[in-house]
Amino acid sequence: MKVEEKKWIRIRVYVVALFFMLGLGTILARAYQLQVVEDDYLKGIADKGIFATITLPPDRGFVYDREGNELAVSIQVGSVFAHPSQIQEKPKTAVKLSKILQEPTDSILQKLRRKRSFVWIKRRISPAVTAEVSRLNLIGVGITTESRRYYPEREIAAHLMGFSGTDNQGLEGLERKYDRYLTGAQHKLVCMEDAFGRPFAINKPTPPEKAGVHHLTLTIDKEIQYKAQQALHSAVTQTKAKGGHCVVVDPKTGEILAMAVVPQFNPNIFSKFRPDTWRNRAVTDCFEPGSTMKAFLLSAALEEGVVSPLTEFFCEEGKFKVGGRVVHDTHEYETLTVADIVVRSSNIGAIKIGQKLGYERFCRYLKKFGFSEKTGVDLLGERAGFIRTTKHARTIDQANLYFGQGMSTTSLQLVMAMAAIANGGQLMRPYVVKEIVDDAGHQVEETTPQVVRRVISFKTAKTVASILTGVVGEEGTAPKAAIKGFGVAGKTGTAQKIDPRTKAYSKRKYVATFVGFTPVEDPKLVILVVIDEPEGIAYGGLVAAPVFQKVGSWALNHLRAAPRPGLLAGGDAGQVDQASVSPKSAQPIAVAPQVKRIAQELRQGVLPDFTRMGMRQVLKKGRDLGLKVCLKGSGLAVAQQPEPGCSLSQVDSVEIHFKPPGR
Amino acid sequence: MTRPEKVNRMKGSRNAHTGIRITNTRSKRRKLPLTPRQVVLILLMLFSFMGSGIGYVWSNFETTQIGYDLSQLKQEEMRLKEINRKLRLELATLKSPKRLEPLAVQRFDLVQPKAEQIIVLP
Repeated sequence: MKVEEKKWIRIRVYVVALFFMLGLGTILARAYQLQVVEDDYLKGIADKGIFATITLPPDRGFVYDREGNELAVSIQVGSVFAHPSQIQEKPKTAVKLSKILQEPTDSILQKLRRKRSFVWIKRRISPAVTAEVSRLNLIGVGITTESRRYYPEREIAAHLMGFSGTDNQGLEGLERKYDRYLTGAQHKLVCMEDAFGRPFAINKPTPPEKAGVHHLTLTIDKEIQYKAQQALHSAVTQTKAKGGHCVVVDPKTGEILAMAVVPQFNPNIFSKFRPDTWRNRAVTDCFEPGSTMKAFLLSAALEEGVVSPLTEFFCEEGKFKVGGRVVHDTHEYETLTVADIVVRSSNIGAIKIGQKLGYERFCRYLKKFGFSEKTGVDLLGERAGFIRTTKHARTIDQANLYFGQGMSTTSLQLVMAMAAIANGGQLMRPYVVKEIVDDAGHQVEETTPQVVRRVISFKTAKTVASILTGVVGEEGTAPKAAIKGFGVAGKTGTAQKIDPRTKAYSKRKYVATFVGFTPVEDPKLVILVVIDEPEGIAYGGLVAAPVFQKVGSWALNHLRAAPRPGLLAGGDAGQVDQASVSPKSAQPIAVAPQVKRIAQELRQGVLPDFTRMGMRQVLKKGRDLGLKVCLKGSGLAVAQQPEPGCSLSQVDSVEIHFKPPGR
Repeated sequence: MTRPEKVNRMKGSRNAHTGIRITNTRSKRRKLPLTPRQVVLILLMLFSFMGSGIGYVWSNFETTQIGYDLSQLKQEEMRLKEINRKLRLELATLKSPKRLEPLAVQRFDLVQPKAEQIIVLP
C-alpha cells in the first residue's frame, strides 16, 4: 500500500470517529439538559399527568363539656365558587343560583361580572343546598369543601367558647385563647391517576409542618350551664334588667361548672349580634359588689379575733354619720350581734365592725381573698378590679368599703372568694379547660386543682358558713335562695351604680347580687348571680336569689346529691334558727347548724322490720330514718342486715335482700 | 474387486422395483445433543423464567387493582368520617337541653322531681 493511501484511510477513520464523537456528545448534552437542567420542570409536567393532589381543608379540634358532650364541632360543608370568564350566560346563571342560594340576583350577577378568574359566590352552605347547586351542572360554577364550625348548644356557654371565623381562626373566647391547639394543619393527599382520572395509589399524607388538631375538654357541665343561662335570662327579662351573670364553681377544685352571661348571643351566627354582646362580662367587667362584701368583712374580723359572732354593736337606728355623710340602713336596727349584722345586712353595723378591724387589715384580707388581682383563670380579657389604698381612702371611702361600695370586682373574683369560705378557707385557682388531648386521644395537658393560698382558718370558715346560712332563713335577706332538702349559705348584695352623667351614686341604677354555696355541710356548688340594673325592686334577695335557688336545685339534682332527710320536712328547717328575731330588738342567732341535731333526733328508736315491703317503700323509710340502704335482688324484702329491733343510734346502713313474690 | 463382483454389489444396492440406488451405509441415527438431565434443567429454567415473568406482570396488575381499591376505600373512609362528624353534630343538637326540656315538659308532662322524691342509691 502506498503511503498516500494509508494517509487517506487514517483521515477517513478520524472523520468517522469525529462523527460518532459528535453524535455521542449531542446525546450526552441532551441527556444532561433533560435530566439535570430541566429536571424539575419536566418532572412537574410528567407528575401532572400521573399524580393528582387532594387538598383536605384544615381541621379544627372539638370542644367537649366535662361529660364528653360536644360544645363545638367542625364539619365540612360546600362553598360555591365561579370562574366568571368561563360563564357565557351570566344573567341566567345568576338567576338560577339566586333561587337556590336565596341571595339577591343582582349581587350574584355583580360577582359574576367581575374581571377575575375566581370569585366566591357563597361560602359554607348546607349540604342540601350544595347538592342542589351541583345538580344544576352550571358551566364555570363549582363547589369546593371547606370546614365550618358549629356550636350545637347555640347560646349555651357561648361567651366562654367564643367563636371562630370563616378562615378557621379563633376570634373570641376559648376558641381564640386555645387557637394554637385547636387549629390543625392543611393536609395534602397525593395519589396516582389513570387515564380516566381515577386515583389508584394514594401516598401517605405528607406530615404537616405543625402538630395536628387537639381537642379540649372543659370543666363546664352542659346541664348546669343551660339552667344557669335559662334561669338568668328569664330573671333578666322579668326585671327588665340590662344584663346579668351567673357563675357556678366547684369550691373544692376551682373548676368552673357554668358561666352564663346575658345578653346572650348565638356563636353560629355571631355576626348578627352586636359585638358588645360577645364579651364574657363575668371576667371582663367589674362592678361594685355591695353587701356581699360583708361576708368577707365577717371572715376577716373573726379571723383576726376582733369580734365574735355574738359581739354586739349599736346600729344607730338606721342613720349614722361618718366622714361628713349619712349612711342609711334599709331597716332601723338598734343593737345587733355580728352574726345579725351580716344576716340582716346592716351597713351601719358593717361600718362599726370594719372600724374595729381597721381599713388596712380589711384590705389585706380582701387581697388575700383574691380581690384586686387577676384570678389567673384560663380565659381572655380578665380584669383585676380595684381597691383604694389606705393613703387614698377618705373616711367615707373606708366606710363605704365595709359594705362593698367604692371598690370593684369581677364576678369570677367574687365567686372564688366565696368558694374559699366554702372550701374551709383555701382559695383555689379557677379554671375552665380540664384537659387537652391530641387527635389520637393522648393527653397533652391536664389542669389539676391548684391552691392559691389559705385565706382564713378552717374553723373561721365554718363559723362564717354557719352564720351565712341565716341569710336564707325567714329573717334573712334571701329566703328565696333556700333549696328544699339542702343547707344553703350565702350573702345578698344590692349595690348602687355610679351614674356616668352625674358621677355620683345613682338612686335608680343598682346591681343586685347573691353569692352562696350549698350543701353547707359539704359544699358542692358555689353560685353567684348578678343582675345588672333591674327595674323596680332591685334587692339581691328578691331578684338574684331566686336564680340561685333554681340553678342550685337543678344542679344538685343533676349531680345526684342526696337531700338531707332532716331538711325535707319543714322547708327551711336546718337553716339557722332565728324565729324569735325581730327587726328592732334582735336576739342573737344560734350559730351552729341544726342539721346534725335533726338527724340525731330522727335516729332515735329501733330499726324497723322491712320484710314484705317493696323497694320504693324501703327506700323511703330508709331515707326518713337517715340510713344508707343497700338493696340486693328484686321483688319484696325477705331479709335484712342488721336485724329489726337494733338501736338506730348504732346503725348507719342496712342491707336488704329482695325476692320476687311466689318463689 | 472383479467387474462381476462390482456389478453384483451395485445390483444389490439398487431397489428391486424402482432401480434407484440407495446407499444407507453412511446414514447414522441422529442423536439428541443433550442429556435428559440437561433437558429437564432447561425446561425447569424455561418454566421458572416464564413463571417469574407472569408473576411479575400479575403482581403489577394486582398492585394496581389494590391501589384502586385502596384509594376507593380511603375516599370511603373520609366520607364515613365526615358523615360520623355530621351525625355527632346532629345528635348533639338533638340532645341539647334547650330542646329536650320543653319536649319533656310539654309533650311528656314530665316535671322536675321534688326534693322529697329524690332518693340517691349508694
